[in-house]
Amino acid sequence: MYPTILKKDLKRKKTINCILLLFIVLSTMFAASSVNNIISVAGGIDSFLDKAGVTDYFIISGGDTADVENVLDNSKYVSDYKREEAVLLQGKELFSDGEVIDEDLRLSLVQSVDRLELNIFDEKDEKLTEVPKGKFYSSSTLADKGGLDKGDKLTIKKNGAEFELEYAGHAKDAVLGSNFTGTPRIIVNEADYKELLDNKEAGLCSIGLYYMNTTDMDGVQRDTADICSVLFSGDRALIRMTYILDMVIAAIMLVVCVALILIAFSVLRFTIGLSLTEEFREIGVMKAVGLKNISVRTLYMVKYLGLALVGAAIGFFLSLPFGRMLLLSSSKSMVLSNDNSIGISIVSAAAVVVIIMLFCWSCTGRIKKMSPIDAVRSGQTGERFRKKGMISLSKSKLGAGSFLPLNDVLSQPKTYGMMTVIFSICMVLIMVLATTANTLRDGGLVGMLGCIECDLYIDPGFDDVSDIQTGNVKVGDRLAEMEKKLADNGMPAKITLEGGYFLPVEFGDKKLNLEMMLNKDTDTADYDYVEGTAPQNVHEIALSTVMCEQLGADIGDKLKITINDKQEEYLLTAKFVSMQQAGKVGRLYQDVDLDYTEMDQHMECGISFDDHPDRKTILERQEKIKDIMDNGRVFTVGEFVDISTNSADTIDMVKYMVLAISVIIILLISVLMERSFISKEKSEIALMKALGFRNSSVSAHHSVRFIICAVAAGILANILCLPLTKLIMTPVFSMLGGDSDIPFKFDPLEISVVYPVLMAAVTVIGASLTAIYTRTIKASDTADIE
Amino acid sequence: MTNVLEVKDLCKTYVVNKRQNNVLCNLDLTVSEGEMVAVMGPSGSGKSTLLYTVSGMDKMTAGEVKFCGKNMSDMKDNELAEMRLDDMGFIFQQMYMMKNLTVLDNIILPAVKSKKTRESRSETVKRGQDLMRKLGIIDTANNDINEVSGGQLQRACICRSMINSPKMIFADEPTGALNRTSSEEVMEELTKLNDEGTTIMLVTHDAKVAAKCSRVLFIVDGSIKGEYDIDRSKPLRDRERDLNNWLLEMGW
Repeated sequence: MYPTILKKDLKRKKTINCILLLFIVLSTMFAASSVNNIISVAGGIDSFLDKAGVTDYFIISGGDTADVENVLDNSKYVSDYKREEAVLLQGKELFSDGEVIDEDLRLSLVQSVDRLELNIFDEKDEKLTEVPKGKFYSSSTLADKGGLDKGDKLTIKKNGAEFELEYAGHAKDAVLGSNFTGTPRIIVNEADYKELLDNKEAGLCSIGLYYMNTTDMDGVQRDTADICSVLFSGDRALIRMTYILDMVIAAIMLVVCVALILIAFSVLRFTIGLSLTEEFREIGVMKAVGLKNISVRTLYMVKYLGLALVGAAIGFFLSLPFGRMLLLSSSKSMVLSNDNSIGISIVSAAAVVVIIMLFCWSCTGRIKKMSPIDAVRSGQTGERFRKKGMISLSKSKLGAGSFLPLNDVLSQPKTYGMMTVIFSICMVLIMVLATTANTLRDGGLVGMLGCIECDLYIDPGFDDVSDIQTGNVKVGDRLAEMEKKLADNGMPAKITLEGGYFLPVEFGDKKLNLEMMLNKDTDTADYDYVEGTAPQNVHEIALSTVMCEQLGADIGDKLKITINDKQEEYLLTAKFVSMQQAGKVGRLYQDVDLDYTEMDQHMECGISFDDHPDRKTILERQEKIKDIMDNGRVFTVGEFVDISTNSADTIDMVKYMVLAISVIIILLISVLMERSFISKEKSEIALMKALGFRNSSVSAHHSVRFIICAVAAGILANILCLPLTKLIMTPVFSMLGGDSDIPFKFDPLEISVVYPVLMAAVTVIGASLTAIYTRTIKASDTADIE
Repeated sequence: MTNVLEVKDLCKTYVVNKRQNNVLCNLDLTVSEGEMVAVMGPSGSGKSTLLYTVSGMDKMTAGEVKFCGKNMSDMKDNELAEMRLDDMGFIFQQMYMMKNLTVLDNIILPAVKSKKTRESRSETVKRGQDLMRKLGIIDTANNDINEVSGGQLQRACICRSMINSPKMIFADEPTGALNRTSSEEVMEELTKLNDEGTTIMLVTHDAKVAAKCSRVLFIVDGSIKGEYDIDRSKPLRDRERDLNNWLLEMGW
């Protein structure tokens, strides 16, 4: 008898069974792909660094590398080290289609595949062992920014010499491949590398990359702090930190996955409950003819098991491409392979089936409470001494069209509350990402980049820092020349340059090669400090909170700093937060005796107009200065923050992906929930039509309920947006050196209008289109309703 | 007397699994203002279909139905809906109500929806309460629909059908789901409404209910087999006996 009942049930209740099946498919798809991704990402970076063979510490050294090798050979703290050779290029020396490949790119390394000591992987996560002649691989940051596709040409132009290479694909480079590193590696064939290096016209020199293992990190840092040729150094933690954006994206996708699982299970539970409510009459009849509770329960359990198995199987297959899509952005630069992905997906799908059966077991518990009376009374009557409606039509001033949907929503808070929460989750995820991206493009963050706020910023156009160091380019003259040009064009302004100087800093038994910021044309008092007072003389310094913690130094302590080969004591007077170099920076007093020739790196020059113009004038001047200076790289403060943090675009990309997923989810939920409501409320729809409600009024009644939920969700998401952004993003900014008081940029138009309206529109479109189905229910159906 | 409802050659056909089922065949019928017509017949004879078709709830296959002189076959869905809202009242066998509304709210819902009168909400509420008072269910006004008895609920349905002062009330077995006492109370209210001038057409299996009407139509296989005028001046018991005799003649 059971198979016959089941067969008829599946055939007769096609709609509700199809809805249930769809939600099971969604749950399985989300669960299986998310669990897989969680496992892949959780140990992702360490596993990637291990696979790549990254050591405890690394140094990039220019000039005479013999110094480095001498120190490393003699250091008792270095257990072993390996060396790679590379050629350093300026970003402006790389061209694609006749144009500079990426205006924001400062440096790039060219290396022979045969001279690689670290493992670098291709798109298929296979170790890169050979590169065909004339071709090159590069990390995705170069390809993405330069818009390179396989087969595109890259031209290296140096001192009149030109080399053309063809892009063969992107490489996953653990040390220099992340978004934050900003120095992509170009891996070429050995013959091409030699040709490049041996070309006398180009006059390229090799530099050294040293990767070392150590038993004492402080010892290595102390031993290498005095090496003058060090261009950059860092430990494994620093490399890990450069993947923070990928980790954040992966973490966001995990949050999205968890939200999707919760959404799917909530809706699933609702649908199971609803399908059982629909069957009260049959359950009552079965009980009336003498079937035991367990028999009735088994019948439904068998049905749901069948649906769960079919749904889980479909969901499992869909989870494989879906999971890959979720990790697309992270897996582009990292090897995030999971050897057991199929097995984990199968286990996840099985877990979904178990959870569904537990839901069913709990929901079918209601069968015990259902009696033959439910069948007799059509499940509608029965003693229930709790008021359903919270508002009364007789006391309300609302018309029927507004009152009925509002009353429905208030009368069934669980159902509509669940929908509101689901819509809010989707909205808030997008809002958090939008607020983060806006913050990373907002001038409010400029203080945390170790700069003061200027009206505009301009790339000074120094081709090479080495030209400054050798004195070929006089920074002071260049700045004065720029100021004169501006004054001649009616825009008198002060131009300042924020320079970075790597100096050996010693405190107690700790010694580091630390980047000290110095701006000769500003006052140290103009910068923000979280503690203490700004340095007042040349023997006073400020340090970032991160550095104070690392060195164990506090305000009032004296640190030894070697400047111009002379070691002196400097008083620490203030602490500040900075997201430069992950917060590992200090600040020198403006009058300290350090020549520009000692500068190791610099930021864009700040332009502060003497006449303090308004925003509109600043924007006009920005365009004017681009023309006068023949330099397209003139930025507003927001644009300066954007190019300095270099993360907003990636966050935006994730935001659009989450937006697309949310739109699909909201559309699906709206359609499926509305279809469930129509199925559940067939009698009321028929009654409304019998009473004289038009088809359009009935459709509107159903759609307005979704609008109410969407509006409530929009309000809820708006309220939660800033607190949640702070909660989620502050730790991320802290890891980058920021403090807990990040000035998050809340864009009212985007957050309070664009996304809520978009989501409400999607909801209404889904619900309204589905509500058209109510037209198939006729007024005369009142006679056929059970 | 003016005809409220005029039906000519009404046909209604259902097609189920490619099989044509003629439920109503060339049916002619007229209901005059102030009449209370009972439609009787065996199960499946087309009684309810007749009621739903002539009230515009279901589409006719062929024929002509005029309600208050307006040809319903020419009307669009929205016009039919408006006519049901303003000029017709409905009472069903099952006491269908909106689940999330109180009894009073259910009653005044059609009035709130209708644009027939421009009365204020308080006036509508007062009319609803008056109707409830008249039918003796004012105490249940603010109750949830699950908190009242079947009889009370059916009387609430009558109130709802009356709220827009319709020209005609259609009732499909209004006492079918009620016990004897409730049934008698409901019929008493309907008779009172008819006495006050409301035209009523009801479907029933119960001769006792039909005996309270002014005319009985007996339908078999979708056609009116006979009509019986009831002399309402006679005592109810006599009317019931005479009707039963006639029904026996009809083959009931």
